Amino acid sequence: MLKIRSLRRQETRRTVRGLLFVSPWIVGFLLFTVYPMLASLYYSLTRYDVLRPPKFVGLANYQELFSADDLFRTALYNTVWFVTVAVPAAFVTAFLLAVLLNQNIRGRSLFRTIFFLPSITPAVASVMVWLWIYNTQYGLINGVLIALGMKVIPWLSSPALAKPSLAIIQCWSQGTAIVIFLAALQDVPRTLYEAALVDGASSLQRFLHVTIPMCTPAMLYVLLTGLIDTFQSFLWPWLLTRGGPNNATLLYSVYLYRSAFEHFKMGYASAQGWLLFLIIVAFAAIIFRTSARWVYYGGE
Amino acid sequence: MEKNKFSRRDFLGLAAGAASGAVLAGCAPSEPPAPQIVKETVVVEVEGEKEIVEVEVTAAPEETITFEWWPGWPGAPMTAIAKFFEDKHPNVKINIGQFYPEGAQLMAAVASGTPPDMVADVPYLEIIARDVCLPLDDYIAASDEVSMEDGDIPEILWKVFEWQGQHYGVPSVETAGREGMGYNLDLIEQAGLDLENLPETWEEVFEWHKQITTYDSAGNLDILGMNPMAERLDAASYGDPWCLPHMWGFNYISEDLEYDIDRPETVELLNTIKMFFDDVGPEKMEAQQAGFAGVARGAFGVGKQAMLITYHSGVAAVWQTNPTQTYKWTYVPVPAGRKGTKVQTGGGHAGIIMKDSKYPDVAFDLAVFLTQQEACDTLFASYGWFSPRKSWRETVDLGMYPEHVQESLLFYPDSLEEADEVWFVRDPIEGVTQTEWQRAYQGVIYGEFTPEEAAAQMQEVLTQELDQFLEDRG
Repeated sequence: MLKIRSLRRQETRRTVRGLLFVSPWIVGFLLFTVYPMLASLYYSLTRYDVLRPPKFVGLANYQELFSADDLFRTALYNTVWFVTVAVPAAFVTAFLLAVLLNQNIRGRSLFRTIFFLPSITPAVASVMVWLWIYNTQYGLINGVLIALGMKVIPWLSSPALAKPSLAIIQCWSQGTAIVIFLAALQDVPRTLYEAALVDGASSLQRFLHVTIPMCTPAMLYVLLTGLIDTFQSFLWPWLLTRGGPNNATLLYSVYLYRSAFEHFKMGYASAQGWLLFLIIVAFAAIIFRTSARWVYYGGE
Repeated sequence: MEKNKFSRRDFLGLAAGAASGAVLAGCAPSEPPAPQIVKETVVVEVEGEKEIVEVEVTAAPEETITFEWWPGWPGAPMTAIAKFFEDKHPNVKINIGQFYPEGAQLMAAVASGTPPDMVADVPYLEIIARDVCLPLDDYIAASDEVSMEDGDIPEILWKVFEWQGQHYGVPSVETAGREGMGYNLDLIEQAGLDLENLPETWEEVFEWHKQITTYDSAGNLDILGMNPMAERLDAASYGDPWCLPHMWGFNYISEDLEYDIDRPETVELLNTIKMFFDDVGPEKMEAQQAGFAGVARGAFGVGKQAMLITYHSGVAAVWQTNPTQTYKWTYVPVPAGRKGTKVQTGGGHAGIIMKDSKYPDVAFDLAVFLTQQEACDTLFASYGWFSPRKSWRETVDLGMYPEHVQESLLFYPDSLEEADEVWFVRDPIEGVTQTEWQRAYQGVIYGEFTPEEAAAQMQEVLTQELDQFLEDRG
């Protein structure tokens, strides 16, 4: 009996010690994640301009979003378009680059570093670079076109091209996804390739039937995180185009920011935030539901 | 098994304890400064006789206050002005928090209970109308330095920072007429146009635009006559009210806070803008503007655009960017039916004192300081900005700028007195107006809406938003 009590005391001490070590994270999580979420849920039910106390209005903000706000619908359409195009494009780009970087070639480490650099470059510095690349007067691409006597491409000035231009930047900044795919590629057992080779599989068949299935868990992760990040895209459209031209790059987060900080409608912006959360959860749920059909876990 | 005397867990615990102790020690209040001992002469009575003796006493410590100022641009002159103010007020230390304060930063500061003491270059009416700013009427009435009555600072500029009968700002930085039409005289001469007969109407400007605009062999825009939406006409907030309606002879919001946008004049002004964009192509026009973003006054500043409506700050900025070319500023064009009417809008910037400022007296002193000699001389020397005071103009040395620049510099402040119509705007939801104005004209130039639809939509959305704002105010 004494031994049991003593064991229990030890167990309690260990638990308390563990909690104490984790407590900074718990406190931070409660203060900087849970509290702001609950606060924004409350504010989404109010009219609140931050400078004065909130005024409770129930679901009026949500009603306004769906019934009266054309710009919101534009922002939602732009965002869904952007996610539909940019996420697969970035995904495929990252995977193909990872496959290339997995080849045994001279200078492989250097190439891997080069392709990872965009992920660690400060965002604002990257924006300055892309403003120069896309510049219609003296940019990297248009400068060459002008020198060749050709028409310039209005990358960010054309409503038709502005979103694809942002998608290109998205593909460029896939360093983290490349590293994840690289790790997955290196984890594919050699024996599977050898077995496939013995069975007479071509390189394309080995790629399609060995490489890709074995990388599907990593693909699920990259797809999911890419979807979540892209739905919340703010920095690039805000710094490059401010949502223009003609609201072509008015993405959801840009409109949310504008509602909160330019229109002084924090309550309305909070409602937009919660709606975005639900949209992302819905998309994520769809991906998870369908993942059983296409994700292969090695132990199965 | 023998237990380690000093395990990894023990080390981690010790390290955590030491770190916590260091953090707590850092939070401890610092030692107060050692008291100063000074000598004072006092009169004492000894056995009925008065004697003057010198005694040593502990001096009362002088309180140094730290004053938080978000001055708006530009950085270097404002830093210099802060230093001048500190020199005159030894117990004041100015902490410049932000140079380009955005709404987000100000809102966060107010919400957290740590607003700056004084702020500028913000959406003025938005924050004034939300009761977070200090009305200054009592301060102004008691001041020997500024007055609303003596006319030294034009009345229209006081009105710009007025809300419901109270005044919230002392007009100071870059306050003069808010817009002028700039001409690159070299490009105009190159196009064979008459420099002595600058256009007065939008129709005349459009004719010049067509004659000046050229393309390279590939069809890329080379020299542009005019992009009407570059700079000033695109703006509707942050001290730059929507001014196109004034050229058509109306104000888009009345003093009773009613929008008046859905009217034939709005349709006409949108059609006028569309005319320029249809001629060049909206993508080419926008591409050229984006291509020179970051340069002072964009394509106009580098000699690639011949005409531009811009701010008081444009005159010296363009000369500093492109000193080899000659420019001139004058009144903005008006529609043909109003030919000859000189129009101007009052606007600009003021130091707005936040209601929760701990040092409103110091803030007012600084707000007034910004209108005085040292501050205004600094801003004029750096950027060619005029003081709002007419009396300052008698002291200014225009000679630091070339003659052709001087005339244009004088245009902006003089136009407030000489224009046939001087307008001002009070719009408590100017941020929404900015968004809706951009949506309206961009929708029109890209063919998404007709001008009639754009005007009606702008009227409807702004009216709803304003109603909601006024309902919330109670």
